[in-house]
Amino acid sequence: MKPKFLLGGSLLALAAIVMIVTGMAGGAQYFLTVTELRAKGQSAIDQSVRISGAVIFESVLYEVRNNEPYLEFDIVDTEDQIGKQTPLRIAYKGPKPDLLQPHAQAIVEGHLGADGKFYADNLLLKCPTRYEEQFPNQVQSN
Amino acid sequence: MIADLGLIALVLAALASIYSLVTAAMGGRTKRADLIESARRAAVMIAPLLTLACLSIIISNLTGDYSLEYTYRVSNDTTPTLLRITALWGGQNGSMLFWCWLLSWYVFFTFLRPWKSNLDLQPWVNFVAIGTQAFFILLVIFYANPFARLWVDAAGNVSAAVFQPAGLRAYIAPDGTGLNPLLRHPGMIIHPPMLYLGFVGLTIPFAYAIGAMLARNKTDSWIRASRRATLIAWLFLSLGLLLGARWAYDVLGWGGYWGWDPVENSALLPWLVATAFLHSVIIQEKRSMFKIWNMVLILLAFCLMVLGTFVTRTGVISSVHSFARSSLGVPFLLFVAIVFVGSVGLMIDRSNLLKSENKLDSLFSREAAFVLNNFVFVAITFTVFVGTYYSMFSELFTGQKLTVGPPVFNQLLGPQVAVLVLLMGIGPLVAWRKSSPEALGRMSWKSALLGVGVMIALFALGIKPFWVLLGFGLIGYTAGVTFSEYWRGMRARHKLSGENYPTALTRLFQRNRRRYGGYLIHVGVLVMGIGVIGSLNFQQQTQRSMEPGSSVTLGNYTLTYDHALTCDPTSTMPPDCADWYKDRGRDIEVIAGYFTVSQAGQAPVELTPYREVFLNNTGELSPPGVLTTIGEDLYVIFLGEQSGFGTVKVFINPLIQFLWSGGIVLVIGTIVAMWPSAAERREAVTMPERVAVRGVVQ
Repeated sequence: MKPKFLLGGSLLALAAIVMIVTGMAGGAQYFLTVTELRAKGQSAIDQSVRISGAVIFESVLYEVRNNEPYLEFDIVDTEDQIGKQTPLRIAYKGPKPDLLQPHAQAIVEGHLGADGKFYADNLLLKCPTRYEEQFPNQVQSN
Repeated sequence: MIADLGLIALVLAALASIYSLVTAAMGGRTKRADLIESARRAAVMIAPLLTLACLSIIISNLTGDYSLEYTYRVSNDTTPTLLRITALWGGQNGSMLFWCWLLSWYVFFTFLRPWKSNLDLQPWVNFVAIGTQAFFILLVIFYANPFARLWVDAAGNVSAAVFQPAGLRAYIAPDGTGLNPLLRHPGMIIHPPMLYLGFVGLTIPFAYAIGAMLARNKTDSWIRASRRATLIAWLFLSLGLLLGARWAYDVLGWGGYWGWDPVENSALLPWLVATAFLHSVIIQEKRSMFKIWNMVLILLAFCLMVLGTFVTRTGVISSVHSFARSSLGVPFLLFVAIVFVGSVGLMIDRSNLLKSENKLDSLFSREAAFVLNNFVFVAITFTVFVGTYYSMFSELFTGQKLTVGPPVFNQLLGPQVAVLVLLMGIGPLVAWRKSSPEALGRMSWKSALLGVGVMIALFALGIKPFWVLLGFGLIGYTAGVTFSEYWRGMRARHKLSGENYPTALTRLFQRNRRRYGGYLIHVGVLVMGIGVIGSLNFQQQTQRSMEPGSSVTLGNYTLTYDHALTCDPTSTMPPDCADWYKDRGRDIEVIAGYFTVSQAGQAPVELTPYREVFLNNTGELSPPGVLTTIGEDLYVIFLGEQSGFGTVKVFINPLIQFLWSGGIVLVIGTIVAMWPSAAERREAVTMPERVAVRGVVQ
């Protein structure tokens, strides 16, 4: 192959890699815990981020506001932090997922508002029990 | 009992594969025909043995043998017969066995008859293909054994193991837990086998490529010999992706069909590289160039496939697909590392075999167009790869965990796909070796005019976004070029032989299936492109909580909420619920919303979107109510009822039908391209004579 093609090709490849990686870095969201979000202070406000944490089930509020479903609840870093850490209030205009149950883990996409509430665009919930990990409670065999 | 038989068959299959692996390597080194033949026979035995193993799992599921851990997990007394059969691939361990089984049939058909050509390649292709097979069978035996039984200790704790652990008694569960409800949908029954067939199929071209290097074969015969297997794998991969998208749209209920989920991406990655490979082998066949590149592509496709299997099967990245976690990680990564390092080492060692026999003459040639096509495909692959594993990379390099969402994928991939569509319209028109812009202009000015015409027409209709106009314009141009290729060929035949146009078109396909079938795939992609652009840019949506009798308006549709029906099978249900439980397990709660859609000048239509909530807390589905017209889908998701208010999410998905119909065209085009031509069928018959000329093992 002619050297000029090789050189041109490599430059093109390099340019493509740089563009893709910078483009991705520009659009990437931080994936933080509540503590990490707080540590960012004022700079976190209105920045699009993803937060994960343990749901405090007793804090769930669910109602219809302006003909739309409206949901609020608190999360902390992990379940053992409940009662120790100042919780983060999540506000979400949407239906309450069924998996929003005691001991649930939430992954929330959205932004922190100036009022200290976290406004969620997307809500993903996980239950700690996994499908394949359960074994039957033993009933006497034979 | 039956399960024991299956376990024995599985172990025998492992032994046969190891035997075949060793004898193939010895036969390849010593060139002893008896060893090579013995390796081939052992390879052919694996498929029947694994069939026995799979059958025994199915029989256990059918008879409800809950002493078997796998049957206990994927089946229960209320599971319908069909689902008990498909439960073979409904759980982690069974699906790995199923994976092996599918691979064994590719191996079976590759080695069923003694080879008549490429005899020097045979032992080494056998070696690589069976090496892969052996790895996966051993993985099933030691890490994901579906034949594990349930055992119980004195305290009543249940565990699972293949052989009886000391001090534990056999345990038979009274009933199984049942198949994961997500996997009970018909789409889920066909989508995984298609995808797996595509995945495992990539093993065959990979085995040919590495086999050719091991055999020190300089020719391109491995490409010709594995061409059909590559196309079959590609067809199934495409089908698997399309069916997965359709399943997500019909069942998951979030308004879309592709969410850039890690598991979706890991199935897309090998498809992208395989597509690049299908294009770049044409240069090697025609011009004996880019031999190293083709090796790299097939190696990459194979590794991405194994990585994809690993990601899907282990839930290493959180996703909607992570049904199970397991200990498969270490062996998988070890396998990928061995394959990668081994293949790259081999390529460096045998680089003299891979020298290009020709040079790229001009930047304005068919070769250059193919190179550019490959460049873009690899760039797209790179983008999807980095995006998928971004959280891993960012944590590794910066200590911060960052993620990339669908908008970033769309934004970065849009321009790259646009370049690809443009190349699709330029490639077929430029000649091999050297062409000129003038010649290209002469051949495509009408199509260019069509593209510009499309843009102007759409702009006049009020469509303003630049990227959308450009996208449709490019599709118009490339469609023009593709159809004029058919027209040109048809007219030439008509003039030359006096055939009428339909006959000329049929003959055109018969004479050059790969080319004209390939163009049909291009048409399919263009039609799908219309659907993608439409649904990405013009989707409308709204969300509302409303009382019975009230309505919500979106576009030309008015949706009126009638009532909700909640069916909880654990308590007494209203009589209307009977309809919902005809073939639904009683471990699912159904909440249905009854709606009426009215449109000006049209009869009202009833829609019943519903939610399925799985009572064992494994998740939920929201199958939408859909009103389909040619131009758009009205897509309604019911989110449940709360204190008298029913909550609904309504989407208008424009042009989405183009996505599905384009997919069908793509599949038909692939079948046309891979169907043996009359000449190839004659060749198959006269093969022995050709062998006599070519000679036997070197």
